[in-house]
Amino acid sequence: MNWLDSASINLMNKDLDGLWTRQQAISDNIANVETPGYKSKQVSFEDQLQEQLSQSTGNSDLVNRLKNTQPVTTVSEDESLRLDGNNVDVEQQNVELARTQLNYMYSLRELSDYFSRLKYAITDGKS
Amino acid sequence: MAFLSSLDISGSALTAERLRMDVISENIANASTTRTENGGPYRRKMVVLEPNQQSSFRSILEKRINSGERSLGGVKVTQIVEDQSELTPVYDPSNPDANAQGYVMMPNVDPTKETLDMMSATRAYDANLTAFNAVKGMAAKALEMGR
Repeated sequence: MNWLDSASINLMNKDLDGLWTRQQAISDNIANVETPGYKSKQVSFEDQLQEQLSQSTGNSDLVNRLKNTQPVTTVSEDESLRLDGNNVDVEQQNVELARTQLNYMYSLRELSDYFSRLKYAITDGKS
Repeated sequence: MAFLSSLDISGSALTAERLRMDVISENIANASTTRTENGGPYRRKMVVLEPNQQSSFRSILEKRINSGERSLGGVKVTQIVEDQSELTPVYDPSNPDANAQGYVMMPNVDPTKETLDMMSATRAYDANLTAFNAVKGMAAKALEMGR
C-alpha cells in the first residue's frame, strides 16, 4: 500500500480542492450582489467524486480516476425576482459559505489525523 | 496562488462598496448645492458595477494551467455616472441662483433614496466582510495541517 498516494488521501485532497473552488464562487457571488445582470455561480464536485467511487474497478484505478476529477462550475439560469436581472440570494450564499467553511475544516481535520496516525506509526508510537 | 486570489475577490467588493458609500455621502452632502464647476446645480451621482473579468497576464496564465473556464475575479466600479433625471424647481427669489421667475433648480438628490442605497451598501459590505473572514479562517486552518 502506498501511504502517501492512497485513495483516501486523494479523496480528501479533491474534497478540499472542490470546497475551496466553491468558496471562491460564493465569494464572487457575494461580491457581485449589487451588479446588474449578474448570474450566480455554483460548484459541484461531490457527485463527480461519488461517481468515480462507484465506477472504479480497483484501488489504483480509483486513485487515477480521482486525480483526473475536476470541480465543475456552472452558471445559474434561474429567473431573477429583482428588476436588475441579478439572481444572487445573499442569505442562501451565506448559508452555503458557512456550510463550505465547516466542511473544509472537517476535511482538514480528517487529513491532519491521517498524517498524525502515519507519524505515530513512523516514530514507533513514541510521539 | 489560490489563497491570495480568493481574498482579492472579497477585497474588490469591499473597495467597490466603500466607493459606493463615498458617492452616496457626496450626494447627501450636496443635496442643496446649486452651483458646480460645470455650471448648474449638482446632479446625483451613481456608480456602475461590473463583474471583474481579469485580463492580467497572471490570470490568463493561471487559466491556461488549470485549463478551466474560471473568471472568478470579484467586482469593480467601471464608472461613476450622473443621474439625468429632472431637477426640482423651488420658489426662492432671494437666492442668487434664482432665474427670472424666481425659481431655483435644486439637485435631483432624494434623501430617502440615498438612505436606502446607503443601507444596501452597508449590508453588502457586511456580507463581503463575512465572506472575507470565512476565507481567512479556512486558509489559516489549512496552514495548521499536519501539526
